[in-house]
Amino acid sequence: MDTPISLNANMTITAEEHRRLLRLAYRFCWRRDDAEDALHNALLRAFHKAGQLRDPAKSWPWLCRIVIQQCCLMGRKQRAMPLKAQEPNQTTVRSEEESLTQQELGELMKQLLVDLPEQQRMAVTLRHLERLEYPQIAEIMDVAESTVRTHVHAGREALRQMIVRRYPEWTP
Amino acid sequence: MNCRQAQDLIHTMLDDELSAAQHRDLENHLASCSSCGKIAKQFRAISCGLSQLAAESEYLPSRLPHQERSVDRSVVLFFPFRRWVSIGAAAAIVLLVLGWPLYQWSKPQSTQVVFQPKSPRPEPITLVPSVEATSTFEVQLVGQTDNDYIAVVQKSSDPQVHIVWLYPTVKMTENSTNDGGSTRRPQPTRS
Repeated sequence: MDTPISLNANMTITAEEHRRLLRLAYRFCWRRDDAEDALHNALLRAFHKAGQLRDPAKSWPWLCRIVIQQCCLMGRKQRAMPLKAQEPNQTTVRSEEESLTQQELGELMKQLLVDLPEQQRMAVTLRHLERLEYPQIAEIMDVAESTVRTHVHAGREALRQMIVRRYPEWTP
Repeated sequence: MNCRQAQDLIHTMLDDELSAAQHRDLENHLASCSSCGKIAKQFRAISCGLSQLAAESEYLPSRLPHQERSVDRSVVLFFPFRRWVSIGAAAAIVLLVLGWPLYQWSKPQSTQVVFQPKSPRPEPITLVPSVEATSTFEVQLVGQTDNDYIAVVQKSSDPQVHIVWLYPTVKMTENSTNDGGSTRRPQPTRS
């Protein structure tokens, strides 16, 4: 998100923009086929709602918001109708001295992020995975910057509480 | 600095927005307060895990395993160079389509006539009929070639096919030569 990208009048996106949007969707769905479906739905929706975009300069945050909304919608549907049982966490018995490797920490964060409230998950994902600045996140989420900070802080705290509660033996 | 302020500063630290003075104050507090130190350690682990997750998800996985399995492996093993096979097949089709008319066009138009002794044939004629051949063709005789032959050409409906009867010429005797001196030399096989 270093360079601002504005969609042109024909509502077409470049291959690079498509790749970034797909990566954004993947960071919410964590399955490639789900991310592709969500992005497809989002682009269709954006195409139909293009007339509602008042400020063309904010088309990129607007598009990101639609993609995230579609990902959350897909996640809600999947939670409502689980097709298959969630795989149990691979919890291995560890002694207190052992700490998680960096890769295991990443996998743990992926599992915990899904359980966060939507707004907090959105804010933490955009802040820590997409590495966006707070003003950019505020534009995407269409809320005030202070609200984004509150969501990020609350999200981090919720992640910490979840680790303490679920994996007390892994707590550093 | 109390613990509440320190925990606020921990979030600021995670956002890399801490000034040097704030950083020094926070480190002093974390060194003296074990509970805040533990919390800071947990937040650092969370930040580390999120950074790892961001690095892992920088590039999307190519395809899910079950989608990759949709390709029939046996076919892949049997045709390890499927791409080249398809290219070769396409090239063969193009060659066939373009080459067949070219081959037909460049094929020599000569006609090979094989004399079949047992084939039904008309009675031998003594006079050479007038033969009008529209095209020149060579008659290649297979088998006995001691005698001279007269070729009688009959056109068929197919312009490429000519029915040819070959008649052994009547042997000229001494008498006939003396009678009229008429040449009964047969027509050459090239008509």
